[in-house]
Amino acid sequence: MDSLILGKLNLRQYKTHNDLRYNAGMIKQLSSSKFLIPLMIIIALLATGAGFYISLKQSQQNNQVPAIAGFYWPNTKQLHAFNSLDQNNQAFGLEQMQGKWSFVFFGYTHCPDICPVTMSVMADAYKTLAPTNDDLQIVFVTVDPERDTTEKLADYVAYFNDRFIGLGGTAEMVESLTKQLGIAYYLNKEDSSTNYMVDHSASIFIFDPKARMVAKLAPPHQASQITDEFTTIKTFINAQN
Amino acid sequence: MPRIKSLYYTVFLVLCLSIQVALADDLPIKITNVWISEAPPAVSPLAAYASLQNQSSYEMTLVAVSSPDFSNIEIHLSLVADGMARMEKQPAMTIPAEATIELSPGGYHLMLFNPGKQFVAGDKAMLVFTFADGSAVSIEASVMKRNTAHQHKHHHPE
Repeated sequence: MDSLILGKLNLRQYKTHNDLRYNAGMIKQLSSSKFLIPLMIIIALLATGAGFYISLKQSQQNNQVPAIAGFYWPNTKQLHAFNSLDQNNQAFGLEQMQGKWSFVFFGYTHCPDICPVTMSVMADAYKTLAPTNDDLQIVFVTVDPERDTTEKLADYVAYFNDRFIGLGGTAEMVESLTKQLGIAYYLNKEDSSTNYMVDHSASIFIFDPKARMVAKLAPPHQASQITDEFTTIKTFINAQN
Repeated sequence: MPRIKSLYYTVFLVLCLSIQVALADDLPIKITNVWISEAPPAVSPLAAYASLQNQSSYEMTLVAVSSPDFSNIEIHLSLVADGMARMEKQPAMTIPAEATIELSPGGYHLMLFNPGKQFVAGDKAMLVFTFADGSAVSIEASVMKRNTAHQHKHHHPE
């Protein structure tokens, strides 16, 4: 009985031994063949290639510049120092633009149509964006600081949203911002002494937390479009950092 | 035979239309959806919008708008070219025969200078539209808050 089991075991051992010998023989045969080293090189190359391809594909996805009209990327415009006064008569300059996303619109309070239309569209967009974007600020810059005193700006911006910022000050202060950005405006003062109209940019400019002007959204403005485009731009720029 | 049928149909339609015209207002111009947009405090001028429908078979020209509540009123057209917004004062506004001209945000609008008081939503103001033929239409305009529905769908409050 015992010998029988032993015999069986021996048989199995033998078989295993035989297998090993067989395998060793295969390896020996392969290693001795001319194909092993080129095969290993090919496998290594394929693996490297696949890895490279995947990482390239991923980086392409991150670098795919969103197709938004007016998106300046990669040619953004760096904002430099400027000085202005906000609606509370506090100094507002480059520092207040850093670390925040900003929508900037240049207008004047005696503008009865385009400006309030744009401001109410921005108010709608802000209402949608604010809960998930606590780093977003909306800035109205007057290009008519002579008539738009900071007190007047305070009432003006608060009407649309009490968190909106209104910038003004002296004409030189406003120019310290508009000139470096190439924002054009024209005061038609020859029309009448107090009821003059101002030609101004109708676009909304988007600045990123590095105080770079990254986009210029052209009119006609729609809150849903601004919301979508801002979200796309923000996601894209955050992915670049 | 089908030709005669379609002729009858046309005659019928024309008759219907004539009855409709006869039943409509006597005035050649119908002014509807008149509203003044509420503005931030102390802001002047205010903007007013309306729909001017010329029901007559001849063109009508709006030459003036006046109101006891404002020092003067001008007709303006907002224009955006190369990203620059400007307003062009219109000496008059012609409404072709049987056409409608919309005064709406971002386009034609009335500029109401120096409001006698702070107008808020719910207030009313009387506007008098005067035409080149000497006719005048008085209409009460409601002050309303702007919302983006006014601005983009051209959907005016009733």
